[in-house]
Amino acid sequence: MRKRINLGPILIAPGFIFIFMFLIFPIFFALGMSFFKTNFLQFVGFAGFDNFIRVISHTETMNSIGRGLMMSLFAAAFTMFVGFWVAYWVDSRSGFFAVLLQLIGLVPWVLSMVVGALLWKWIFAGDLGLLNTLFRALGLPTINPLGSKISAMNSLIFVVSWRTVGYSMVMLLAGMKTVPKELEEAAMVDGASLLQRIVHIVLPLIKTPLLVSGITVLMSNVNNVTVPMVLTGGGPVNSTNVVALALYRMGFVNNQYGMASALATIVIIINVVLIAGYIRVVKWKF
Amino acid sequence: MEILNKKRNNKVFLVIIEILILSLFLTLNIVPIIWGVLTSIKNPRDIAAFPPKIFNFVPVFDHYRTVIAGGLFRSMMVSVRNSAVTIVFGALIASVTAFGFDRYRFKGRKLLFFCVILGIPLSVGSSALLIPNYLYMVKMGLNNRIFTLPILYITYNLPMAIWILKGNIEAIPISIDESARIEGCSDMYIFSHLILPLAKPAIAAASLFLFIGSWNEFVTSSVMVDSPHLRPIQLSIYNYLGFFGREWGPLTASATIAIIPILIIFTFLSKLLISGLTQGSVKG
Amino acid sequence: MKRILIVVLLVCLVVGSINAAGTTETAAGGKKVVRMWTFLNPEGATSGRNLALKKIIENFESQHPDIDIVVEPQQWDVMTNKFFAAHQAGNAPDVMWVISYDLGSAIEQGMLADLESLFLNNWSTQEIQDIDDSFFRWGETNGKHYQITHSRNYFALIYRKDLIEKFNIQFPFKSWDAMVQAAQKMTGIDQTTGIMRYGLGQSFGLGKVDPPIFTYDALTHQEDIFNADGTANWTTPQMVSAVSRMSDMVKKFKVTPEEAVNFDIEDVYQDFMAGKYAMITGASVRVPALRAGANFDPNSIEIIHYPGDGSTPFGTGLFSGWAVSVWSKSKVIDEAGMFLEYMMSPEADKLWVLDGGQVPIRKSTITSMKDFFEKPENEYLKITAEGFADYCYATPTAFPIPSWREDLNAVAQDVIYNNTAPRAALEKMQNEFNARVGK
Repeated sequence: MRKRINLGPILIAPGFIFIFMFLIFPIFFALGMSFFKTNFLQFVGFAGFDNFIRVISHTETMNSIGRGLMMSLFAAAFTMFVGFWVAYWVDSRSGFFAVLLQLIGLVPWVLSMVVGALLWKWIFAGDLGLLNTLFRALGLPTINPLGSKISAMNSLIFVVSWRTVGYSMVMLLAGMKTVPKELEEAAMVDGASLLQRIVHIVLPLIKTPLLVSGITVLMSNVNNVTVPMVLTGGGPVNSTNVVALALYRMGFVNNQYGMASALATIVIIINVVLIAGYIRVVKWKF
Repeated sequence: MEILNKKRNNKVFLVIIEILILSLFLTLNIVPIIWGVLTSIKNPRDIAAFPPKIFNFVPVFDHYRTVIAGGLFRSMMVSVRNSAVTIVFGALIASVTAFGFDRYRFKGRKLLFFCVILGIPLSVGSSALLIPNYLYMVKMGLNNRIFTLPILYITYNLPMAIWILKGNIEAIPISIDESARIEGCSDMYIFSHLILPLAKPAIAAASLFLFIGSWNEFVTSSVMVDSPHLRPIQLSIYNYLGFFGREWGPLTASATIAIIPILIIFTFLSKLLISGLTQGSVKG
Repeated sequence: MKRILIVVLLVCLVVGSINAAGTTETAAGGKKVVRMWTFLNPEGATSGRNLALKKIIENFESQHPDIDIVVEPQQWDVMTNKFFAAHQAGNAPDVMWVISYDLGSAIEQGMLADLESLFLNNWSTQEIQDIDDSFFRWGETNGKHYQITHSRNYFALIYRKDLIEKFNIQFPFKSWDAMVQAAQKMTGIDQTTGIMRYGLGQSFGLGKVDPPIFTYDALTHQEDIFNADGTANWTTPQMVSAVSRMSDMVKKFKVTPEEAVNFDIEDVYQDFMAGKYAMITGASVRVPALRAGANFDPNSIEIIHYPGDGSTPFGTGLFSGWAVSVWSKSKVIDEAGMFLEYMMSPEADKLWVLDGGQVPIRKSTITSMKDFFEKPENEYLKITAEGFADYCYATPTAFPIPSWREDLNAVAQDVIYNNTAPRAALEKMQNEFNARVGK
C-alpha cells in the first residue's frame, strides 16, 4: 500500500498564490497607508486614526457614502429585476430571437463604460439632447434630467443599471436552465399563477446565482467612478456625489492619499459586512 | 361565449404588453449604440450639428482611418494576446484549483473556499487601491512588463472561474474517479483525461468571463503599463478623451471596433456558455 | 484535450515573444533611451500637435543618432499623479509634462531638475531674453527654473464675430456690464436653426472644469485670489460682486441657461459649435477645433480678452499650460536636458506654430513669422500672445492649490441652484479649501 500524498493543498496552491499575492495582499498594503500621514505619497509620519477621524467628521464625505450605497442598491435591485424578467422570457423561448435578445442585452455590458456614459449624457442633455429633440418632434415639453437633484440621481441609477443588466441576465438565465420545466408545468396544472410559480419555484432554485450576481453588481456599482464622473460630475450641487467619486477626487485631485485610503478602508468594511450577510446564505446552500 | 372572449382578450392584451415591454428593453439598449455608430461615421461638423442628423448626412470613414493609424490594431493585438494568456492560464489554474477543492479533503478546505468566493466581489476594486497597487507592483518590479496585465487579469477573474468550475466538477460523479483508480490510473491522469473533457462547458463559461474581464478592463491597465507596445485596446479608446477635448469621431469609431470581437465570441459560445454555467455549478 | 492546450500555449508564447521586442527599455546598440510621458501621441500622426511632436523627435534623433526618444502617451488627468507615484517608486520618466496645478508640488518635492544645471548656464543673456516671459518665470524658485511651458493656453472670451456685427454691438467691450448687455442683445431664437441661443455660454459642472467666469471678473478688480501664505482669498468685496454678477447672468439677464449647473466645458464647446451660444468662456487652444466643427461660418470664431474695469483697456484672463520638465533622478539626465532644450529651439518652435497651432515660446519666432501672424485666421494667436504678455494671471506655484477650480465651480452651483448668498457660499468654500491644505 503506497502512502498517498494529499494532492489537494498542492493543487490549490497556484490559484492561491495569485489571489493572495495580487489581490489580498495589495489590499492590506493599501489599508496600511490609511494609518500614515501622506504628503504626495511620501509617508511623513504615523497618523494613527487621524485620517479616519478627518474622514468621518467631514459631512460631505459621509453623505457621499450614503448616496453611494443608496445609488448602488437601487441600481442593483433594478438590474436584477430587469435581468430576471428578460432571462425568464428568453428561457421559455428558443431559437434566433432568444439569441438576439441575449446579444442585445449583453451590448451595454461589453461597451466601453466611458463611451456608454457619454452617449447617455448626450441623450439626456438639455436643449440639444437627443431625448428632448424627440420630445419636441412629438410636441411634448422638454425636460432636463440632469439638471435637478432628484432626476439627476435617477438618471445616474438608470445608466448604472443599464450597464449591468447584461451580466445579471446571463447569470440568471444560466440558473434558470437548471430549473426543470416539469416543476413549473405541474404547478401550472395545479392552478398556480405566474407570480406564485416564480416566487415559490423559480426564485428559490436560482438563489445562488441571484445572490452572487447581485452582490457583484452591487460592489461594481459602489466602486463605479466613470459613470458619475462623466454623467453628472457629482452635481448638481453634490446631489450625485457618490463615495466612489469623492474617493477618486480625494486621491487624484487633492492628493490626500492617506485620507483616501482611510475612506477606502471604511467602504471596504461596509462591503465586507454586506458580503458576510450573503455568505451565510451561500454557506447554508454549500 | 362571453367568458371565452374575455379570456382571449386578456391573452391578446398580455401579448401586447409583452411586446411593448420587450421593445422598450430593446430600444433602450440599442439606441445609444446606434447613435454611437452613427457618430463614428460623421464628419466633425455633422457630429456637432443641431438638429441631430440621423440619416441626412454623408458618411465618412476618416475616423476609422485615424484610429487605425493611431495604432488601434496593435492595441487590439495586445488585448488579444493578454486575453489569450489570461484565458489559457486562468482556465488551467482554475480547473486545477477547483479539482483540488472538490476531490480532496484537507484542513481548512471550507474556509479557503470561502476566501475564493469572497474574492469575487473584492476583485471589482476601488480607485483608492489604484496608487497603492501601482506602488506595490513597481516595488516588485512587475509593472510595465509583458506579463503584468495577464497576471492581474488572471488574479481578478480567478475567483469567479474557480467557482464556476467547482460547481461543474461537483456534478461529475465520483464513481468515474473510483473506477479509474481501481484500474490503476494516477490522479493526474484522472484529471486530464477524464475530468477536463467532461468540464468543457464550464471551461467555456469561465473563459468567457475571463475574456470579458480582460478585454474590457481599463483602470488597472492605465496605471500598470506605460509603453505603447503594451497598451491594450481600452486605453486606446480612452486616448480620444484628450486634453484638448472629446474627439467624438475617433472615440466612437474605436469603441465600435472594440466590441465586435466580444459579440462574435459570445454568439459562438452562447450555447456552450449557458450549458456550462448550468451543470451543477449554478444550482440554487 | 491536453494536446490542444499545449498547442494553444505555444502559440501564445510565440505571439508573446514576438511582441516582447518593444518592451525592454535598453535599446539595441547601446543607445541612450529618454522616456517621455505626455498626452500627445506622435505615432501615425498626420496633423496638429501630434505631428509637430513627431517631426521634432525625428529631427532630434537624426541630429543625435545615439539618443532614442520614446514617447509613452498617458491619460492626461492621472498622468501627474502617476508621476508622483513613479518618483516614489524610482521609475519615473526622464521628461515629464507636469499639469499646471501640480507644478508647485512637484518642485517642492524635489521631483524636477533645475534647468540651470542642465543647459541654461550655457546660454547667453540674449538667448535667455528670447524666452523670458511669465511662463518662463512660472515656478521659479530661488532664481532657478524648473520647466518650459508647452501647449500654452489662454482662458478668455471666445465669441462669434458674425453675431457681433449682425447686432451692431460696440466692440471690444468697455466694461463687464457692457459685455453682459451685449450678451442680452444676442440672446434669442436663432432664425436658421431654431435653437434658443444664449449670449454667454459657461459651465459650472464638476466633470471637466475650467475656472468659472467670476474668477476673471474678480481678478480684473483685485490682486490675487490666493494669499501669500497659501490660504484662499475668496471673500473680498470684488469676489462677492463678481459672483453676484455671474448669478445675475443666469437669473436676471438670462444670458446663460440654468442648465449650466450640470454642463461641463466639453458640453459648452460642443453646443457652441452647434450654434447655441454667441460667446463662451473658453481656451485659446480650442479655437482650431471649434472652427473645424462649427455649423456656422468658422472664420467668425475669434477670441478676445475679458473687459477691463475702466482703468485698464482689458481685464484679466488666466494662463495655463503644461510644464515640461526633467526628472531629478533621471539616469539619462543630460540627454533628457538636451531634448528639452531642443523642444524649444527656433526650428522646433516653428513646427509647434505651423503644425501645432500654438503660440510660440520664443519672441524671435514671433518676429520671424510676422507674415504668418498677420493672416486674419491667425488673429487669435496674436490676441493670445498679447494676453500672455499683458492680461494674464498666473496661478501660484509656491504652495499647493488643489482643486481650487472645482471649489469655485461649486460656489457657482451653490449660488445658482441653492440660492445661497454669494458671500456665504464663498466663505464656506474658502474654509473648506483652507482646511484641505491644512491652514
